[in-house]
Amino acid sequence: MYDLFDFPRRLSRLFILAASFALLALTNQSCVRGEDYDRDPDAVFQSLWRTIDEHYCFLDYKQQAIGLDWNEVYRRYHAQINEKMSTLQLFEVLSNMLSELRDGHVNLYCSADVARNWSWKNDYPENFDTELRNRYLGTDFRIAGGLKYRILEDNIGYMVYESFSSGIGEGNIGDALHFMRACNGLIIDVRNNSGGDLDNAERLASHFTNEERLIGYITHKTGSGHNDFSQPEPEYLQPSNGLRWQKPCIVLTNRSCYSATNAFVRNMKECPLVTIMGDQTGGGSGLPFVSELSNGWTIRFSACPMFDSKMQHIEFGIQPDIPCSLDTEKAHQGIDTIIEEARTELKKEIKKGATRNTQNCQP
Amino acid sequence: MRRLYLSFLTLFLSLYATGQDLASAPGGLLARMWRPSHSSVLFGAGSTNQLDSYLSPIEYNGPQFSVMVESTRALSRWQTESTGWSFQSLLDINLHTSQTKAAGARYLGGDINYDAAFHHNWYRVLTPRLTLFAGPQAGISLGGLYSTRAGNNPANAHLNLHLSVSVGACYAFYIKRFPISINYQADLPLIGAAFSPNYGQSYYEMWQKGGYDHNIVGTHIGNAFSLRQMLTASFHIGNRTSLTIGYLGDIRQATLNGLKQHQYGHGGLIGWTRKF
Repeated sequence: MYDLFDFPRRLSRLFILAASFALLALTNQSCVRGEDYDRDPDAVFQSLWRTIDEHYCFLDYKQQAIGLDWNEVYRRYHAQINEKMSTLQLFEVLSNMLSELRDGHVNLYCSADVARNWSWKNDYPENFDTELRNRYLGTDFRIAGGLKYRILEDNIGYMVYESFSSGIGEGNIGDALHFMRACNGLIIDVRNNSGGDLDNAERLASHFTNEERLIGYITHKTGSGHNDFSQPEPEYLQPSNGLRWQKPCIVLTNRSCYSATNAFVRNMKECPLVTIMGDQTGGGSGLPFVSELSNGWTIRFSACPMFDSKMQHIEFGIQPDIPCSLDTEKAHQGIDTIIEEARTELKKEIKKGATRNTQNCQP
Repeated sequence: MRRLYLSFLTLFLSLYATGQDLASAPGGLLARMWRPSHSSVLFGAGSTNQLDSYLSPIEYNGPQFSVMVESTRALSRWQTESTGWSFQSLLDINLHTSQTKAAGARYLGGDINYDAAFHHNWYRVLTPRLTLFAGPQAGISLGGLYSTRAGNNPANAHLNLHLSVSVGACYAFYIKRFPISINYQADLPLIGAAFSPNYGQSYYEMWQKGGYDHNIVGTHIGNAFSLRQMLTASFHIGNRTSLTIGYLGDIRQATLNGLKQHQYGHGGLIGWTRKF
């Protein structure tokens, strides 16, 4: 006869055995520990250098592009650390060390200051004048979410997006494009837009393609080594289900187009009726992460590199299709030469399109 | 931790000695105290020490609050005079907030844990007052940690499934005819699976782009050693009701995809237990 209690007894023995092994293993386990709070200058320096060394995503690329040697940086800046230095002196040394990365996404925050390297825009002509831009916008422009827009005198739509942090929905974009549906062309001015939400950048670009397009790749670190990266994941731009723009469009850029705006320009560059015009963008293709040093200071750094559709780095910016700059003399006369050149270019495109249509209609 | 085991051993030995002296205690009540069927609602407060290297390499400390609902039922089909099986269901909800000594950012977090265990009970081991139990346990834990520092990595989600071994003891005795039972339980996850972002992977890639990169990771005692221990004392204040006080030590840690996590929680418990 089957003993009803036999199975439980055997099972219980098995688990006693397992418990014994587990408790034995327990004695050999080490705890998973983190860093301790430490205000010592050397500890803070080590904490920062290590965070960048293990998590920053462009060390290898920047070694090739600008000759950055992170180990050499350690030696040079570690020599400046001593126990007697003040908090602000330490902050200054660390800020200078981070500047070597030449990355606008790298910041060190303490209660008194924010370390940054803005050479990506400060070292170049601005090619933008807010007052001038506002003259083109006038006073009767419309506002849809983060978008400001109006129709210029020559029947060209003019749309300004100042920050991708300002939200825009499908409805906002659809309404703006519907308002300008009779225009011959569209200018999207993202000069001085230093980024924001990548979703907004992708949502706006999705109204300028009728089919799915490869816009680039994204990857991330899989370990602390400088070359430990995942397989690049292709990024596709899906066409919006709403109103899609079917006429020529020009995106105006300058060196202050950074981060999500850089990604927006990358996305728009893949759209067939879109031309990029102005100055090279500022770059900033690493999705930033935030971490913390042993003394509580916040560190922001690029963590996930994004590439264009040809798997090329866009960390240092994207070249425009048509380079042009702001003529300061004409600016004094109230003329934004970048906007004017865009209008001229659009008229050429419209004329070309009209000629093509006429030829297509010939019997 | 070893100190706790020594304390438990000392407690056990002293209770064993007390049990010998109380051989003449009324058997009816003791028998009821040994019966494994009961349910408890316990409220906890204590401290937590947290590490999540996806958010910060620094350890955070702060208070935690918990609610635990535990129910154990004897399986009448598998009972003899000396042994028997029981089913335990344990729901544990924790809320915690913590910060570093720099008092900069703050973590806000919480988790819900559910564990179900089959315990084999050995009644009247060495003394008529002692019950030992051990058995398999399966559980799920779901939670998250949010850092007020924000950025593209402002939070980290926690999800894990685990198979554990659960062991414990129950000892009942009297102090001046006042019945008390001491319960100890330790749950040790052996194997399982857990969600984890990869080392530098953003949630933007995971949710917006649908990127998967080794985000479900096998866990075992080597990479995710965890241990939950609970020591309670129940003071019988009615025929079936007890006031329960105790200690909950919950050690969870893991090293997955190169990311280190731990949550060490210690706290007091108070609540009530009802015997069936």
